Amino acid sequence: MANASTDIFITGTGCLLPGCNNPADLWQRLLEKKCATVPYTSEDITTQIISWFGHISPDQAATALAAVPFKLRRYATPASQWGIKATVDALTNAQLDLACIAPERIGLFTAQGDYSYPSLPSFTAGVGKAIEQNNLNLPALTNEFLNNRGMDAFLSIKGLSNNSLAIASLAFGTRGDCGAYVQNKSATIAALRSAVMSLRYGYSDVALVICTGTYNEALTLTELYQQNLLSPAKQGAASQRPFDQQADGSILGEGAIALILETRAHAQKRNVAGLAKIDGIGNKTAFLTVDQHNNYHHCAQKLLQKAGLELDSVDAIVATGAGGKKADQQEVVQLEQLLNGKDIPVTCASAITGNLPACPLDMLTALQMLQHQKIPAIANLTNPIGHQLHLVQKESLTQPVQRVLTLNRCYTGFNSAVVLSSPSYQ
Amino acid sequence: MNSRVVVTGLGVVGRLGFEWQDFWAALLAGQSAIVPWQPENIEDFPVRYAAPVDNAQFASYFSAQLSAQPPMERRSQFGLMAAHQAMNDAGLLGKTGLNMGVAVGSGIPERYTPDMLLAMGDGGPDWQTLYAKREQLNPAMRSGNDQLAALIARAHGANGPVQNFSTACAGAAHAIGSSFRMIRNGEVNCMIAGGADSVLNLMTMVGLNLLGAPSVSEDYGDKLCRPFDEGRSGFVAAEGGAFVVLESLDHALARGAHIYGEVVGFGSSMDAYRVTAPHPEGKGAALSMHKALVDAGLDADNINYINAHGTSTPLNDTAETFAIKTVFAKDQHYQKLAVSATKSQIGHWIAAAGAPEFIATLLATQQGIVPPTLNLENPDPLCDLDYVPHKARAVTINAALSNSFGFGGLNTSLVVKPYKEDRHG
Repeated sequence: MANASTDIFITGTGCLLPGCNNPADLWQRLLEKKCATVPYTSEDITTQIISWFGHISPDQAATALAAVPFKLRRYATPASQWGIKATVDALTNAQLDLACIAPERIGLFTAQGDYSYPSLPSFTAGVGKAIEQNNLNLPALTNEFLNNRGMDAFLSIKGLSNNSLAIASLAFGTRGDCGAYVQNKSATIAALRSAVMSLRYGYSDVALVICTGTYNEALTLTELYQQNLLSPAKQGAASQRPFDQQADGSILGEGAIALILETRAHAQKRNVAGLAKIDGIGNKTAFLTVDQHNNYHHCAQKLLQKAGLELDSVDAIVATGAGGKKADQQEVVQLEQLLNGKDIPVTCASAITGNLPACPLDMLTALQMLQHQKIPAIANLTNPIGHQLHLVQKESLTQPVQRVLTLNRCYTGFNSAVVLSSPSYQ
Repeated sequence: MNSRVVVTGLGVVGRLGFEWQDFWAALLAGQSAIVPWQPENIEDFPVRYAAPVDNAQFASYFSAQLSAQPPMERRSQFGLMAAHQAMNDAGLLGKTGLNMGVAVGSGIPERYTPDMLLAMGDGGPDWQTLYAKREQLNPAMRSGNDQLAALIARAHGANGPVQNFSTACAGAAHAIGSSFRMIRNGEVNCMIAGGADSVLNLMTMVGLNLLGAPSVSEDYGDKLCRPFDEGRSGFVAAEGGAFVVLESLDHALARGAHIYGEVVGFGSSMDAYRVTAPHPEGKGAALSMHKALVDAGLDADNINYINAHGTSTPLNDTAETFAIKTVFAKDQHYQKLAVSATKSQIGHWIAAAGAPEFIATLLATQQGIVPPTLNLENPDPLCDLDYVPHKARAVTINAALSNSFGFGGLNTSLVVKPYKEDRHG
């Protein structure tokens, strides 16, 4: 078994995000503060209330579908297809040929925001034929479902086993350690934690972490809208305004991000430098009351302490910036408490893609910052709400970036923190 | 240094009882939870049997605890009460300051027909129609899939790692295995781990039926669940929740906790074979068992009992038998194994299945008695192990395996031993 102190490296990334086919696209948009959210469209749902969204475009969806082996396509949800495409790119980025590794030594850990199946559309055909004068004829509905295929025949496969794990294991031929997590934003941390543990304690040589999901599901949209979390999007693509005084809610989105993880020894054996070292992962859950927001900064403090890191060693912070007035005010207060006057630049990427379920946009941004030694300005930020914070505004900062703290908080009460540093940084 | 991991609390909520003692007594007595059943009173639904929780009894038994809870899915109700029972059993109810996390196995979300209908406008599903009728929408449906994990964390003040596994029928076993790893590696002292599921609604049962997974036979009545039998024809769906409290040995000893047994190994693997079928030779299943044994530092001949996944489906039971014979081939040790399928008694709890079966394995190990495989009247010639048919049997167990395999080719195996102060004793 590997030593518990084994360093874990991220050696490859890939993504399929609104307006971004790869991490370089995201970085370009971050530098240009060019938002990729667009008017909301859906073949299945009609709404005038949800007007703006971070969509995967039809072209992107077609590219993703093409990345899925033909025989698996009918089983794969759109989110799984995005995840496969992101993973193919991440493997290329890592210069990793999985055929060179024993399938039993490849771990696979998937994160999904929430279920999109059973979905309303999967219910449509049968119901449409079984409604008689506003009353549902249940036997007719059952007949329609069972005998006339009025419901997606692969509904269970799409809904039961976190589809992306099953599809990815087949697409990439992985037979090793595994886990699949469906738990909104915290799914990412759950998958990442398991992947790191699997590598660190010798259960895997390589771990694929595939994070994918969509908020484009009627029941989810209903819930979030009812909680007044969504922006009316009167400013179009500029409506998601993290930490801005004019912020009026979130724009939601969808997409996938894949990470390739290896131990330092394994990466060095392949002569791969890696993109970043994972210094630590932490989370703190605050399912108590809505007023208990201090878990956000406690989470970061606890993580830094556990990793033996001083806050002074952090060059930048990638924060959540959900775009909701109240949420962002709470986050600013927490950041101020965490930083306690220290001048550490804070940025965030949520304005570019919209808020994504189960996608570590913050980590992907941090990886780009480490690579390019820049800290991008926050898009749509004109009047900051946190005057004690160094929120990066207007122009990107060019400065040494060796270690980045990423912080995430979800409306469900889950807070997480990840510290990434340059592979050579001590 | 790795911590030893012990089990200090048990909770089971299902048709065979709402206390683990009732569940265990029913297993040893050879009772069956399977009864005639139809979804939402549709009389000609092809699936005719299931193991549903008795609503009236459940509501009555847990009325005090449930009355204080927000609306939640059926599975979350079972799971929350099972977690409560496990924490109570461990003597940890109301304790604060624990370095504790939660790991849950959960499956497909519950979607009930009346709720889905709220979204139907003239031209199909219409978000505005749904939003206009939002007050009628079952509030439980609006929660995320990690609702149960969040509720358990909130109820017991767990602020450590929270994991919601969605690995189909391996979900709860994954949750227990991951918890074992986190405690062993010193990340936390204590975990509430298990699963809860309820697929007994029209939407989900239709989906499962379209795949041909549940039995639609009426030949055997309430003896329909027949793992390893020639007459098996598919699983029998069930519902319930089961949780255990796992602790580091040091933590358990420091507070004088009762210890049921020790978890010593966990293995997980993927088939990478087909979406809809396990590998016919059980390659993935064999790999997870092998990895669990390696993880436990045990040779195969240390195992005396296997609680099989044993779904009563034509494909699983032969593949699992093949896998067992592969892993325990040396000196034909497989001939000495006691193997039983708890699903023959309680049905298939789907994502939660691994939790009650882990508890059954643990109690069998602790008490030296193995629950039976019911309805094994005409063994499949390809299923030629000792499946402990019909009646519970006394067996001295040094170590035991609990298998859980999920749709899509996801496999887990857990190894447990009776607790002894000297690990090698």
